[in-house]
Amino acid sequence: MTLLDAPITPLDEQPHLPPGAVHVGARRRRWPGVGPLLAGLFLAILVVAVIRPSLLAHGNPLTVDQAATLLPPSIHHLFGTDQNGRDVYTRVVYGARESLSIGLAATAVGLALGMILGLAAGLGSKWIDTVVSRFLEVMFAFPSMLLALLFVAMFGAGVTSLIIAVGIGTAPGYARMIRGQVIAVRDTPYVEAARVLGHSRKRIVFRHVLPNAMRPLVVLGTLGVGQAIVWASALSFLGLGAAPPAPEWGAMLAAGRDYISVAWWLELIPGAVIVLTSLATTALGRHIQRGIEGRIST
Amino acid sequence: MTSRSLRAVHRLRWVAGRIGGAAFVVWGAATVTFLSLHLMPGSPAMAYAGGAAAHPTRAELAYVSREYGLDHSLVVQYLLYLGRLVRGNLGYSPSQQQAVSTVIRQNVGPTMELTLCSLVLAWVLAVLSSIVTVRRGRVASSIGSGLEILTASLPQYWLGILLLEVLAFHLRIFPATGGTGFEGLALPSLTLAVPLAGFIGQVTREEFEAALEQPYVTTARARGMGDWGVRLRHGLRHAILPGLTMSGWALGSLISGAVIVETLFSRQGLGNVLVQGVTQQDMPLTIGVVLVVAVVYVVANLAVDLLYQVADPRLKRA
Amino acid sequence: MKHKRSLLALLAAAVASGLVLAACGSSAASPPGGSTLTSSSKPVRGGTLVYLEDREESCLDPQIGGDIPQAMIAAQYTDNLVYEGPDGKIEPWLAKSWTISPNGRVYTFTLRDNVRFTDGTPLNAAAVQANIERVVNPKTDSSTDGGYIAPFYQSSKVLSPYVLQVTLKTPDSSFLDVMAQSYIGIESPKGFARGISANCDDPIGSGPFEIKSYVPNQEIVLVRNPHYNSPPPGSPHTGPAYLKEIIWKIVPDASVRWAALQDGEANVIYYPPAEDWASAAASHITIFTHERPGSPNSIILNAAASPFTSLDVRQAFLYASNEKASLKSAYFGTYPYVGSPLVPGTPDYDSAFQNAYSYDPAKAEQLLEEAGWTGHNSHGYRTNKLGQVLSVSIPYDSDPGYTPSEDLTLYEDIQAAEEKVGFDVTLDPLSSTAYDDLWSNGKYQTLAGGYWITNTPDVLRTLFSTQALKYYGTNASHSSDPQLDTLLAEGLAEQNPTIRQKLYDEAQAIVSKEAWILNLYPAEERLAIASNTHGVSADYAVGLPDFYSTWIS
Repeated sequence: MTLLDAPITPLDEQPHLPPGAVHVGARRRRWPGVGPLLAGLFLAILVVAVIRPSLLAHGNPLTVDQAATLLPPSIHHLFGTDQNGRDVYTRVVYGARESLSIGLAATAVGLALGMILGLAAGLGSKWIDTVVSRFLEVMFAFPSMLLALLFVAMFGAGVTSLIIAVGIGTAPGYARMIRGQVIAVRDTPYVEAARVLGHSRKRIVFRHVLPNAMRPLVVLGTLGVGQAIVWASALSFLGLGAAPPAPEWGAMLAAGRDYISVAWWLELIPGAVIVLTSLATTALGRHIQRGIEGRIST
Repeated sequence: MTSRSLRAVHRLRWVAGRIGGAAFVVWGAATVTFLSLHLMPGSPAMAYAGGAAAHPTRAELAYVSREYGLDHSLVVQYLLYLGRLVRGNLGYSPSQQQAVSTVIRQNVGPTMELTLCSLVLAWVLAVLSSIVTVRRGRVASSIGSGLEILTASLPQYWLGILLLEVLAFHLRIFPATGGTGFEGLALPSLTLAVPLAGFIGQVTREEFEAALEQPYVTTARARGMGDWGVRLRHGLRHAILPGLTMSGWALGSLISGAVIVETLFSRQGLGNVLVQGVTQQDMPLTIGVVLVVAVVYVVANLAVDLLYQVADPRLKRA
Repeated sequence: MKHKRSLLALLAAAVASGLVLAACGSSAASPPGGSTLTSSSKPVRGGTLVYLEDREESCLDPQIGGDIPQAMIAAQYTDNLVYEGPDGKIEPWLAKSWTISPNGRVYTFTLRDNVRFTDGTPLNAAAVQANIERVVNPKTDSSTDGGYIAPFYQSSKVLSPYVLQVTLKTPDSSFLDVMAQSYIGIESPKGFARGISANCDDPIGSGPFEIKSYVPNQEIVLVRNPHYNSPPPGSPHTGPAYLKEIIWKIVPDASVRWAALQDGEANVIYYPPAEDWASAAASHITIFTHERPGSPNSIILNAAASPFTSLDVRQAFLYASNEKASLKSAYFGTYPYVGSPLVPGTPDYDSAFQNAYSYDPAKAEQLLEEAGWTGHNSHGYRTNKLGQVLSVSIPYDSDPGYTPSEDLTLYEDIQAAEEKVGFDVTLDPLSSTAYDDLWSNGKYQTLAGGYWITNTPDVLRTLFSTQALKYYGTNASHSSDPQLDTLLAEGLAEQNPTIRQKLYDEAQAIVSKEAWILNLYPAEERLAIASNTHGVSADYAVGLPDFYSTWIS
């Protein structure tokens, strides 16, 4: 089985699938060929927006214009304007940097914590494995949103807090997957053979186990970023994330909510961009996953 | 000993193990909440009294210290904490000015109602999508699976706002303020159920596809059973059972979602209370809700596991 | 409603220290109340009114803590000892008459002898005494009422079943004003006996309605008090209320409140979103506003914190803010702009300062240059010789009940305008508790969302005097000006209206020139009322919704 058979949920942990419940058809389904392509294209545009937003939007995302508040989408304002007369298109473009960097940072935190725990459990002694596994079981008792909120309650709201909170919320899932992966690789005939050949433990770990076990992290990371963006925007939406007037997508949604009766575009467009980002990372992640699957079982 | 009774012993042992495991996790969760109070910046007495901003007086702090045994060593405090939990005492919420257990009692019902209703709705939507579109030709199949993937990536808060705007504000099918009874439950449940249905749908679709290829299905068809009959009788049964185990997981995801949906719809419930606890820096309330939800979640997962064991004799544990 | 709890506590401190504050009164200049829809048809008895509020009470008993939502609900189920009329005059209510001793310290109230609480117990002198003794007891944690009364209160005595004598330590001319506010609606002592927590959930009064059920954060159900016989003077009718029931729901989201009103799910909503006012008439919705006198809603500048220690920088901040245009844009023209230290309608208000800081970025830049903020960093923000950046943080309460989205839009507009002249402004959303904390510890450059409702120009002393800074903790600008102190002290003592006006004109001139606050708009009671709902009014003491004579057609 692959570790990512289970659907990645945007807001929550991996399903607890007992062995009997593995759905065998996972590999059979094919994405339409254009899917990954479109996803790649969309993500490429996002990357441009992150690195050089001025290439995509000429204006300033913070420029207010009281003569042009709440204008509907038009040629002058592709996505309309908001309650301060700011151009929503420009804000969405510049918001990519805010939202993606939060998503990336949160994923990095989650993966880092997950790796520490997962590797310790997978490579350490049986005793360490037991302790970590038990600890993870306890952490899984908390739905991720609650874990994140608990952290925010302890350390207060704000972007840094939000990144760590989302990271902590996702870490147990990563840790369990990494542990499983390490153990799976550790027990392959290939590593077994290396052991029989008398290779040192260190060499086996660094040359064989780690590279093979880490490869799926690319997939996890890709899938995780989309997930983390949705997460972070949810916390921003609750007023616990980015402060105004930052063009973070979740914060834009939160601010636009009160104006929905007079300006639907404030709600529809940033939300659609979040959904597209999440879809694109999922599509790309699964595409990479299929590419890796063949190699991993060697 | 016969092999039959041997199996029964195995099964009993497995059940006992699962229950013991769940009890361990509950204890662990209680420990985590205790530690969170002591790991946060500022003194625990301050946190119990509602944070620095609540301006507790010296007398109040002294009272809180005495009440929660904060002048004892950490170990004693921990034991006192566990002792209070065992007696059902979750402390006092400064922001709600009520015992945390009272607040939770008032709010646990609506949240359970919402999550269970959403779970059922999600299942119905997912299964419908599978039955209607699986193996109905490329187009229908693509539409079905495309919809599942799309709905699975819809953030609940966004979906909720759009549903509110379209169904409540414009078409006025549902009340904007939630209302009472079924009417009030409809929009929040739909908001939670649609993305979840996307996930469940992806699983049931695959199971369903696999089931329809099984020999007994071909046999049934050969016996002259109609397409719908085959789908309902054979496909569905085999598709649902493995997917049912997802319900435990789905419950966790629904609770996470409920935090957002309850806030969005100003609906009574634990999620709403939790967000208030967090924004008001009311630690006793926050950890109380987090802990109770964790316990409910663990128990629900345990129940699903045990039920599954009963429902699916193919599954051999131990 | 945005009246800060901490403000109330501060107000309490002010009163405690001898300030004469007839807090939260409405002035004759802005008559509220009366029937909103002068319908010729006859009132209908019965019916359920659905009212949507923005914030949770957390305790229905206004004597505990004492926040505006608590006073709102208390106004429905309690009566007060005395009544504040449209002209600010104190009139009889539960007390049918009273005398004040010549030294101003002994009040003798004669109560009506036929009023009962909804639990059946008589509302007598002992009951009123129990209420007063309760709020002055520190264990009650009555920050508003206790803050008002405790500092002056000496003792009380039941002279006969319906005669109560209250003795004060020192004269307090605001005592009756305070007793007219719903913050100290008279409650049943039998209810108190159940303990604070139980009384919070189900307080008992003698008002036109009684609490039937309460689900925190969700809704309160009130039913008509069938025996009601004690409406205040000037009520449109007598006897029990017309409405059979009020469903009082907490709906924080303004757009949801509005949609519910349009759908007919609600009869009255609190604080309708400004962007929807334009469509009100088309939906046959009436907007009801009641301006409250005092100091306007503002952004307070802390004169004790860099860079606002400099008068030039404060003035530059005001010149550069473009607040008038921003207010119009953010609130869709629904709020009048108030540029003067006092809200029009406050006695001795001087209109001369209304446009003292009209938008003038060039002037602002010039003032900043003079103040030494001559350099610019890579982001275009001004720097001084020491290399410090001209950065300003504006903290605000992120609870939409305190900072509605329109306020946030306004702050963001101001932020953008300030950045044009080189201020690096950040907006800091804070939880209510963190915001309150900031209020009291003084560690801020600015504070958004401060205002003070009272019907006397003496509010200037509460907010800007050295006395208030040193002793009351109500001077959030940390301002201190000996000349202003003298003027305000003289104004308070002055009996001659002409001379007093002159003194307060001079005081307003100083406050305006010193630029301690960025004035924005007056505090208002704002309701939106469905076309089938008639006879909604506001009380004159605090401006709370009054549903006694409300009926639904």
